[in-house]
Amino acid sequence: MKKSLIATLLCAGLVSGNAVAEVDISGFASVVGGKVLSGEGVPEFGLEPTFLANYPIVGFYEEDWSFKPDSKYGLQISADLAEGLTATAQLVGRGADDFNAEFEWAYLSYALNEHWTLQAGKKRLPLYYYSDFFDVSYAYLWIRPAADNYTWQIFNYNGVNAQFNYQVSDWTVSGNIYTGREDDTENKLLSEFFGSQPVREIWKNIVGGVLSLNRDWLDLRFTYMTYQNERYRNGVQVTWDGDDARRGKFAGISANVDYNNWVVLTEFNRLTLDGSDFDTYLLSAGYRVGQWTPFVSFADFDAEAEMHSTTSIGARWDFHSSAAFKVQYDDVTDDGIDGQMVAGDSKAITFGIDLVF
Amino acid sequence: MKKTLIGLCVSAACLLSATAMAEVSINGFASVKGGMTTGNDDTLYGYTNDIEFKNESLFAVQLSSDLGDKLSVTAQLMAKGADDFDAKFAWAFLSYQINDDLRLNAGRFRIPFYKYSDYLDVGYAFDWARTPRAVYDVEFDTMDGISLYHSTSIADMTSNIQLVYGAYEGDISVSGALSRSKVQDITGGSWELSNDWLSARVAYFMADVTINATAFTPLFTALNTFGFGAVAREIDFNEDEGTFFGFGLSYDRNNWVAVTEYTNVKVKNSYMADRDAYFVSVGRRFDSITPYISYEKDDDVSKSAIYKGIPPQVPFLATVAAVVESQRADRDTWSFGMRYDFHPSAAFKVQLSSAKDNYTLEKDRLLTMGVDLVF
Repeated sequence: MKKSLIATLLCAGLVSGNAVAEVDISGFASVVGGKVLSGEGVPEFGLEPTFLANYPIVGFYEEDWSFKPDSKYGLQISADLAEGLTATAQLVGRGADDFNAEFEWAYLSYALNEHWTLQAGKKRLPLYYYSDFFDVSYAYLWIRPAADNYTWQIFNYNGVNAQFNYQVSDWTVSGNIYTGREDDTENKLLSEFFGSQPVREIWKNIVGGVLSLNRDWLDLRFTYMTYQNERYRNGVQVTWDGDDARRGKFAGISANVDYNNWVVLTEFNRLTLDGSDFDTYLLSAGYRVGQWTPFVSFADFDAEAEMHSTTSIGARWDFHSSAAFKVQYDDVTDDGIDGQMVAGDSKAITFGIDLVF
Repeated sequence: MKKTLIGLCVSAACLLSATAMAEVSINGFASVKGGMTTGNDDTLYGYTNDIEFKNESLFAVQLSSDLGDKLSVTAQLMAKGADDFDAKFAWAFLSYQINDDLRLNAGRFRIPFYKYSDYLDVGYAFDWARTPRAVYDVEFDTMDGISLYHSTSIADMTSNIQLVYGAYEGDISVSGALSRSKVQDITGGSWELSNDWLSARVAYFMADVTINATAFTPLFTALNTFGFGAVAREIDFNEDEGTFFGFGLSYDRNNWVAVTEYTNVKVKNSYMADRDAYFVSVGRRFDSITPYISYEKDDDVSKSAIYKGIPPQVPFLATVAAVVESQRADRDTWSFGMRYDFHPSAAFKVQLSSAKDNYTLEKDRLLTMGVDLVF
């Protein structure tokens, strides 16, 4: 291998020459169409009737049919390098981002033993219950996790983490401890939706942990994270009470039940930033009837001036062993005051197919 | 999979590997092309007198997976030199085979405007260095939506019908500025009848075209201020009805290859000229070498009536007239070239194109060489 060190850098042919690893390709896709049925928009901002379905990627519907805001395609490539080492990369193209292909994940995993795995690289920030598979809509009931609850503007980070997994009598105890940083040079949500100037959003000194407890029909998850926020608007550093940085603390709990065809999903989160609390929660209930799972859902965001909630009804139809059809009606109430409105009230319909392969 | 509803599988990595049973097949195509114009001041198709290799070079991989039970998924990842090789999902759709004759696609796919719409980027699929630009000139070529395919046999002919509904949202260049655009309610289809050596196709589409043409903002402000708002509305694209009509014939027999296509593109109540264009191309296969000659005609009639009602003393009359007349075009393009199939899945091509503008009498000549391959 010594000799080929130079060649490694020069010749891509080496990659195939030395590739002994097993490479697996899998993927997911969502094709979703929808439109706003009625809405108020925010006249103050000159915003037409809009349903902001997805905060982090800024996927929103207007009064014409659109097939882009919730549609996405992902390819996951993982290479098992043996002896516990795995490399994983995920390439995702989202309609809201004009299907530009971006590496959402790129990390190495090293299994220390049967309980612990170390990982390093670019990963999803595991704040919320559905964070890790936020893009893989096939994995959950709705078309998307409730927007009011999933309002994060930073959803990836670069860093290291340790995952664990133990069996304690009837319980599976698993979790994740992580640290890292994210520097988003032009944050989409803050630059495009909540303003018109480029915003660079930095979350640094991120330290967090997740603990999950599962048994049979019950699933509990606890999450905590702390970080320091720095922000540049149009290249100028934003200060908060004279400080360049502010600390945020995020805590959440989620309890899910899947019992006798009933599915009850709950999630409660609080972000404390600058002494203000941002509280969000989501409550959903569904009932499985054969291939169909009709559901109702309520989600709420509550801060000092920004307040909004969404009531949804819909159904998931598992018409295929690895694909589901979904249809959902969302009714958003935006009670924001003091210029803290998001997109105004809206009623919207969306439907589509999610699959994994 | 029921259990994942409550997320027993905590990571998507785990989720995907748990459910991933379907085979993923990978193939692709690539083009490496270099070109330069022959005259110092000549420019054509983005090339100048300096040799350029990025303009029309591209790499793409296509992944497809059959999920069983009539369902499949296809995604094409493409990196174009013109976009600095930034990778993008050019196509990505789900297919559901309803029965032997009918297939439903949903997602992002090519709009079947032209005979070679599905192969616009797959240079290997045709003889030319590029599809004839006079005809292949609609500013966008993909849409998001649904598409229904019907294929059957009629006598000894094969009939292929594709119906589409959806929208295009993206940037369209207007007067040199990339402008946010929405082409809504794209509705239409194509029908192709073919046998071993002859094929004929027609295509028709309608849509509502809205373009936020920032380049015109100062002009529109002036027009509105001076009471010529109606003129501004005749220029802009504000949910204006666009139509596309296309017709094509191709012949391939006894080593002779001939193709012709005609298109007509209009957008009502906008300054866009009514565009008429056609091409005729003839080639002859000599073993692995195919020389060809093609002629393209572009005849775009500007909407001079838009500014006829503005009195001559109004200062911005000249600006409005210039904007409207910028759409006028009368161009003849001759191309001579050769395809050399030096490999079972790769072709070398060389093409000389000469475009003449019948208004300015300017001629631009371009020499392109390159390799197209599929894998």
